[in-house]
Amino acid sequence: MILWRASWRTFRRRPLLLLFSVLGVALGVAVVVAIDLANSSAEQAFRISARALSGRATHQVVGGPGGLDEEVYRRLRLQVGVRASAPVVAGYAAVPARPGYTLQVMGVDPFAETPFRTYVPAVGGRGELSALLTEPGSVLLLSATAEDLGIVPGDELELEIGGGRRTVVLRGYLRPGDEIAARALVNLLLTDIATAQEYFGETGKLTRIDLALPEGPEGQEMLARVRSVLPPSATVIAAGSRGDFLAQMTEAFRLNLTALSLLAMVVGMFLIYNTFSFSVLQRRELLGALRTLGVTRRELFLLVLGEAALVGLAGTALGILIGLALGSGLLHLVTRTINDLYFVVAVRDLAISPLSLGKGIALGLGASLAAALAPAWEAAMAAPRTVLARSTLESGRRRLTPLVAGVGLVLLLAGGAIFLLPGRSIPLAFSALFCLIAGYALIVPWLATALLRLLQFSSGRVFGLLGRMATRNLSASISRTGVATAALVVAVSATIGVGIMIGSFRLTLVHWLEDYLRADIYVTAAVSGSRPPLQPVVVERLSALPEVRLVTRARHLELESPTGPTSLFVVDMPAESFAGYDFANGDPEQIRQALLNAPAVIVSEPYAYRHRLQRGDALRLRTAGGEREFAIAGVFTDYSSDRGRVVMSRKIYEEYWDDRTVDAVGLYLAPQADAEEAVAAVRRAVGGGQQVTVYSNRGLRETSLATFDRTFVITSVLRMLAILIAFVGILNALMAMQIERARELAVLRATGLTPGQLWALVTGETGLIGLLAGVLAIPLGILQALVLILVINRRSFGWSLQIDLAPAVLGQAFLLALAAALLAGLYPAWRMARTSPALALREE
Amino acid sequence: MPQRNAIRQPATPLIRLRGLSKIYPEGERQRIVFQNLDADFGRGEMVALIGRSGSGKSTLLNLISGIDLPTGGKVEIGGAVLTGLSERERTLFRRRHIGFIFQFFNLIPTLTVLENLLLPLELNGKIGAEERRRAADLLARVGLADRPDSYPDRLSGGEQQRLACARALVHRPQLILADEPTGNLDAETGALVMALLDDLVRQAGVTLLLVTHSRELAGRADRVLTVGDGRLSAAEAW
Repeated sequence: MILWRASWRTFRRRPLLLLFSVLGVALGVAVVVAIDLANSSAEQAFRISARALSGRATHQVVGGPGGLDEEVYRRLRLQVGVRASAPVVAGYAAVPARPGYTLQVMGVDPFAETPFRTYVPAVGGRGELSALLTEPGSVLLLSATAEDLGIVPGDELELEIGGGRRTVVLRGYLRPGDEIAARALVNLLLTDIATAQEYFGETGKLTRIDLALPEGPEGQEMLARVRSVLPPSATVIAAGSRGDFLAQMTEAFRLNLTALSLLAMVVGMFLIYNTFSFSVLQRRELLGALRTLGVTRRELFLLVLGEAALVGLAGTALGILIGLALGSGLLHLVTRTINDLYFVVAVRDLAISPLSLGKGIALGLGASLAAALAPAWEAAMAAPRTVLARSTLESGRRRLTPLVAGVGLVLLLAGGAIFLLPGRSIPLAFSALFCLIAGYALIVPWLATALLRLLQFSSGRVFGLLGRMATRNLSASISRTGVATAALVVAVSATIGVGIMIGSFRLTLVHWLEDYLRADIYVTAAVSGSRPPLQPVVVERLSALPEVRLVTRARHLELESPTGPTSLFVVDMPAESFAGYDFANGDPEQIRQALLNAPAVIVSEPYAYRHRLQRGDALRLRTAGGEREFAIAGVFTDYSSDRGRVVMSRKIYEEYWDDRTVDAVGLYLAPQADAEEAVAAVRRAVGGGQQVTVYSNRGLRETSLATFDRTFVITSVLRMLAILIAFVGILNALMAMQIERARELAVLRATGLTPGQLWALVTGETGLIGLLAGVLAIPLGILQALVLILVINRRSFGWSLQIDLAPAVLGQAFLLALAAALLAGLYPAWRMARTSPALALREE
Repeated sequence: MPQRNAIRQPATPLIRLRGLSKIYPEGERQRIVFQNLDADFGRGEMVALIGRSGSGKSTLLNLISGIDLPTGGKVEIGGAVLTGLSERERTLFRRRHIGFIFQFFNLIPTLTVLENLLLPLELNGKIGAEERRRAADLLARVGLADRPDSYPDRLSGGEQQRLACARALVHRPQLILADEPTGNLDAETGALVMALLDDLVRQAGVTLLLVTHSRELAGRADRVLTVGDGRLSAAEAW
């Protein structure tokens, strides 16, 4: 206990150092916990939403692009005798008064709902049911959703649905059985099935039929009978598969975020290491005396680890609190990205999962202990002598520096070797990346020492004696400066790596959009999450415009397959528009001819990667006449979706599916036509009949890039947090140096250095740290960028990207390193400059 | 065969050094600190070790205490062969049987006076009423009974060294090793501290090996030995 008391009071006497150490752990844990909570909240939201929407359904019958005919439902109930079956029409609606607000619309038959969903009003229940059935445009919402929209039962609500505007009336509230179901239904708008069919323009059609089949042989037998009456275009899927599929879609995105958050934790670990390393160094004589008095190595080792555990515990507790607050903000960004890129999900609140908190605790404590292992070992190895000169220690550490660099080199090579192994594992790729980062960080002190040696000559010439002193001081205190520099290198290199990756991605996207978007104007009735068809009359009017010389008609749909929904893009393929497709191999014109004249498709790179397909393979798709094989004529570059998609010519599509729907058109203008006037003409041609969005070519490119930029906001936030932690680390190291050098600085003051000169000396040292970190971060940053682009992005999303080593990114990062170090040095420099020679020279 | 260094042997030795050698490699050469040293130190004996700087006085203390291992030979204290023990065993032995007094005091700055005194007792097991009483007595003996809650940086040099002396004795060791105990004190304070130490050690019947440059201190010892040229020899004119 006495030993522990001595240890605790050592930290208490240096409250700022203790605070920074705790803060370092706290920030690292906060970032990890925040990302984990945001990710798990989003995942939980779409899982429970999928589950709540499917209710107690065990299976779902889904159709092809044209949906399911109502006749199928009649057959199931009457012919097969499946009493527990419920028809559903589902889609999305936007709320024009609240831009960005999307409701999930579900049209149901209340009489069939009882076996499935308890939140739907039952027959004989409250009055909402009769209103739902008899009053047109009647809808139900959760009371929380209604409150959010500012409406009460009896109020009207305007919606953009099925390509048009509709006014609905709130008749009552959904009544979920528990809090979890309530969270899942937060953006659900329930209506009668006939109303939904009318609004979506799907009269006589269903989106799906929910089934509740018994378990065991009886259920299997019934399933077989169900399958026997289905048309060829329909299939039965497990009701729970939707949630899994949604999770799988966003897995790579969430994993990348997690990796970035772990990087912040790694930087925090440097801070811990630095703190405890300094603490052991400062107590070296004391530790030697304790060893002489009979304290064993094990006891000293456990003492230092115990200190780290306490710091870790305090930092973790604080980190979790910060993480909860940060998580709410990040949740908004994560949800927005999922909505932009993948599917509609509404997540209002952060779901505080014990698992996420547990991970944060384990990581915070684990990282603190891991970071303190080496200093604890060093403390344990303290020789039981009466005095151990600091110069001996420093020179001892300097001797260790090449050895540590050697270990770093081995780690670098190991990381590189892992990348050379064939495979697709993303976690393994990230592990190898961390090996690279850790290995390089271990080499930084050696590189810093070498660079300082080079700088000594020039700094002396330019800045005189003070300049030479600054470089020598840093070199002489490599035990502290080396670690702080390494932390800043790691943080800044992450900025470079991610910055280059994002820049390369953006450049790739810009070039791709320029090539791919060939039409001058695009028209769609799409509203968040759904693509209602363009009315045929609208398509005719647009095609007849004098400004328009060529029209390509497109259809976006999802086909169910054993691996989940496949995104199919159907489009006319005149040579001019087809020129926008870039193929890895094969002659584009031959590919186009194959698409027009044979059952063939082309697949995007991500699709080919995920499904391990290549040109020449066959793809089975469920058509109106059952499953058919389509030859893969080519693999094309595509950045519209990381899930990947299949593209088919309209000509072939209409041969195999009874569907003539058009949900988007591309208009090619005559050579003399003015683009702006043409857009105006398009709007006039559409008139007020249907809500459409008209994009000019440039407008669509800008919208796409804006979505891209939004996606990486969260990445930028995480990068800045990593820099903040490194900044705290530098501040920590400089404060420690101030304590260590009090006597030395007092001697300088006594000798005649003015406070201003002393300030300049210390600032010069911190500037040198920033300079070194900035320079050393560049190679590591470029290496990280290459790994992210060539390996991780490829394995996560299947994309191949151009590499753009933008000098601006490197320059900015260098300046960031310099600025962070100089800023961190301001306060310590000010304090050191105020050192009183008399006070510091007094004998203790 | 090199002649062994033999010096006057006490009747009941606590410490036996047999064939003790310590050789350090220095580049291509070897620096011989001791070679085939034999020596005995008696129970309750006070021995002063004098010699030039770098002669090996502190090295000898390190070898005797088990902090360092000799290149050859044997160190035996109270029947225990230190040179045959592991590092951990030597540490535990040191904690139980040896007390240290350093030139620069080496008190724990973040422990109070009383806590510094109790530290060796805690290292050796739980602190009971008996141990606390003993600590209080010692504190009174060294004149710090009124300062139990003060921190070392509030004490004068003399007070710190008196506390260090008490710390070295509190756990009733068999042996005390003092390396220049008055080296950091003025003459008057040093004399006072040495007188106190002498008194405490004699009363406790503890063996004291004392490294010093001070003739006055050496004069208090039962024996004065000179360390030098790899040997231990009786000092002239003592």
